[in-house]
Amino acid sequence: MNIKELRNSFVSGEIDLRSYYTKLIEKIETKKDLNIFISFNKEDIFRQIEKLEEKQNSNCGILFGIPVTLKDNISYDKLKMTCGSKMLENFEPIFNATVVDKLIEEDAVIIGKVNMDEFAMGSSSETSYFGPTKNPIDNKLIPGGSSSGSAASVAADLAMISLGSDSGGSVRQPASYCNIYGYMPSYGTISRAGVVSMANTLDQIGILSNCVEDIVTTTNVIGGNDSKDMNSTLKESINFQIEDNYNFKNKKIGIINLDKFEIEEAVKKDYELAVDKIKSLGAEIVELDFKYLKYSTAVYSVVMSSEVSSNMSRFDGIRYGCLTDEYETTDDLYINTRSEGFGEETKRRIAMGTLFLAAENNQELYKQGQKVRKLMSDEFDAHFEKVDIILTPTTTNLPYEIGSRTEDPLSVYDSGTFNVPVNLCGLCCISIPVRKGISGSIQFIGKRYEDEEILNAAYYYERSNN
Amino acid sequence: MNYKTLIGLEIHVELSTNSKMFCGCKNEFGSAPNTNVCPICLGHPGALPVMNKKALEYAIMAGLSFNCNIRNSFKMDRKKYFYPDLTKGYQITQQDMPLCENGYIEVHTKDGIKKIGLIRIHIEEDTGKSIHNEEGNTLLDYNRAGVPLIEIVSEPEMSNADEAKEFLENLKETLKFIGISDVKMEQGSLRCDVNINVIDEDSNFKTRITEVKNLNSFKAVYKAINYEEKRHLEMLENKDEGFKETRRWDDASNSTVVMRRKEEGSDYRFSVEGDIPVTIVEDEFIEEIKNNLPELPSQLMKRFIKEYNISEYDADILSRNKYLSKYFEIVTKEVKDPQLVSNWLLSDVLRRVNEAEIEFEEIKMESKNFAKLLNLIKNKDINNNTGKKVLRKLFEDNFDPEEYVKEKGLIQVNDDSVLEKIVDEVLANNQESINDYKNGKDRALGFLVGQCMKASKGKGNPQKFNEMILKKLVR
Ligand SMILES: [Zn+2]
Repeated sequence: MNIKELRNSFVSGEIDLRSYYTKLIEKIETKKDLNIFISFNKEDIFRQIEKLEEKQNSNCGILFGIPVTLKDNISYDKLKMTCGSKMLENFEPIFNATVVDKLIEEDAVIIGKVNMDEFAMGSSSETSYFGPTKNPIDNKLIPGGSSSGSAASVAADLAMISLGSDSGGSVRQPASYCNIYGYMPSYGTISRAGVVSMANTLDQIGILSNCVEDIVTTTNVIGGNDSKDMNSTLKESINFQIEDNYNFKNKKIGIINLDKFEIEEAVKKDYELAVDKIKSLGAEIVELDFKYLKYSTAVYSVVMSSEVSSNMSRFDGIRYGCLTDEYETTDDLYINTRSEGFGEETKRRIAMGTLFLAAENNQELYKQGQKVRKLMSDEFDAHFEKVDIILTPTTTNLPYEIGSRTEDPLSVYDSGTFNVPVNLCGLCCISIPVRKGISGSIQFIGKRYEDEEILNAAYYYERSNN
Repeated sequence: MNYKTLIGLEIHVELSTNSKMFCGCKNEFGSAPNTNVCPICLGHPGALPVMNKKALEYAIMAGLSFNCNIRNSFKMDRKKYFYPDLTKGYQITQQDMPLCENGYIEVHTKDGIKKIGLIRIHIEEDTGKSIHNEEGNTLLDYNRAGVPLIEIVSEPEMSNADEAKEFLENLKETLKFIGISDVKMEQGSLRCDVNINVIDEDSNFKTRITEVKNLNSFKAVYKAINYEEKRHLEMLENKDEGFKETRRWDDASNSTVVMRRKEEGSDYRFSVEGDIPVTIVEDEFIEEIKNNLPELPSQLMKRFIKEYNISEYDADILSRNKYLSKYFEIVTKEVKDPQLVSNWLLSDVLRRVNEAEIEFEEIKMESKNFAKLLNLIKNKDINNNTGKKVLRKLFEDNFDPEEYVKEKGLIQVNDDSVLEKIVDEVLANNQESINDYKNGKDRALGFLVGQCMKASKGKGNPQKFNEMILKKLVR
């Protein structure tokens, strides 16, 4: 069932809201060992249901009764917002993120806040202060990250859609590992107001779901201009249309030669499978040569950690969040609070960022990073003169076992080779599973603001693939 | 030794917009602590800044008034440091692309007019305020956090405290004129840091720059400069370059005190503020602001001289204060005697303003009543002395002077027959003074007029008394 069908069943009374949610809550209880939820409040859910019941026969919203989970860095003022951290373990936000207001406006049901890597830093959910989430397909495996709980909640059928945030693949990589769909719109399409910044020029709200159509429906609800976010699109509202006549004839799809990259065999195979499929559907395949793609994780590292170092500065223990017991001077207060409140990965990135921004070496790496970012963006623009869509694997590997790589934190960085550039260049992207089960996924990358193109392509591919 | 003092000023000015720089919170001085705050100015996770267009407009107004170039596109930057005042761990400011650049402010020196260069004017947000109480606790008030500021940085081109004082006065009056700040130093809406060092022009040996921070009155700026100039000269004589250091002015000891020495400058780890996109400032927008700028003091002064034919000295003082200049023009329209209006405003009225320790705009005396008073004097309905007495009362209580002088019977007596009678009587009773006058003592004439005034209870026309006495006492 997709959003439209479920909504209509609620509206017509074919499915009873209350009993649906009673069952859903039971299901959530039985899957507790997956460690998906950080905050979950039955009373709040039933309060929302009551409100929906009152308006059942009048104006039902587009998402009437649809269960949604939120990554725990998105503000919802009825639940805590921990960002998967000890720093904000007990933090209760006092306002809703714009996306949450828009979801509620269209009668979605917010069922809870889900697990994530601490402050969205990590790609396995293992940096979460609340412990790792397990992959619903195989609970020995990581679900990916940082939007781990988001992906797992959809894959485990506990939510129809989930909002995550994506700064370098944090929506698409877990979507891939959990074998679902993950979409990241062009920068600014969805307001970031109320979403805790990790690396603010890269961060975007993404949508995880079981099908393309639900992603489009949700984007049309939560997208559009927001006066609270100066980077948000100037378009008043988003109204993406799915065209039933879309096909790959006359389309040019750019692909890349994977031989230059370190990449797992299974992922490579699945990529080839997808390319063949698309070719057989009539697309013209164009092999593209990327000069700067191999630097993407390095550039990402510099840009991301520099931004992290300033975005994390507000967590000083003075106005909210965790505060150390032990301090005599103000400096002690900062140092001890931040030493106790932040996890290892967060500290590592703050330290790197601080180094990159230090005046001592004239911010050489920071400036160089910005330059290569621009070159990369120009390279993509040039390629988009020739092709409509660029197709890459979503990740370079399949999910590994929980705990198997904690000794080597830097090894996990490289999985983002293909999804990081999309953020660096403000492009749009959707990750689509190639096969059922643990398998590789592919991502359709589109030009900035040409989201409709990739969504239609994804929809067409989805239908042809099933 | 041939030396030169180099003084540069850095001035922070709070803009008097209704709301803060990046949120809708009230920008208001004196509210109860932490009442004008919201998630944005408190730096709550997820809160994003949204630029206040009015603040941008105000900053451009300042730039235009000080002859700066206005940038057509700018970005904002983050300046990072940890301080409890600072809610986000960084201050949003402009580092390498200031909104306004390369301006100047004119000051009068004994060698004529000198242009003091302005390096830049940039926009930024203010921080909160720490209050250290007697128990040793620090209390934090974030009402000021996020209030829009402009920072004005001058070239080190002032060479003494007088120039610095005039620079500041000019700057303050201009800002007040264009109405973008209330420039109250005591409330912190205008704050001044002084950078100073001296250089031996023969040997090029110079002392290291001292920064005197957070000066909260013009007097303190003046004293601190003089103190530092002397201190630096002593160092210069000893060939001691001193330290690059930050000091503060201590009123109690009448001296500056070291706050910190910075051998290596603090690293603010500047980075781009990505939450605020690059902003384009259209030429039309700048042009529109330019067209709406009020007349500035220097322009006013020139116009006053030309239009009202008053002295440069008078025009200068009248044009320095927005309210005074307006008052002058309104009253002049009624009285049609600019020199008379100027004389009365600059002497009697300003003296009373100073005595009352108020700003000119706070006076109670309405312009229409002041104009009526001056017209009474001009038309000889009352004499000067009566005028001064009435003014004293008018300044306090603001009433209709026409009714007042009628009620109190202060109308000047101009009737020759009445006056002549008084003159005859006075002359009859003061033979001695008549003799004195005839013997060449001119002062005696004044005495006789005074006696006549006294006899008329102050209401006689002194001019006429004078003439009549002279006629009767031909030497
Ligand atoms: Zn505020």
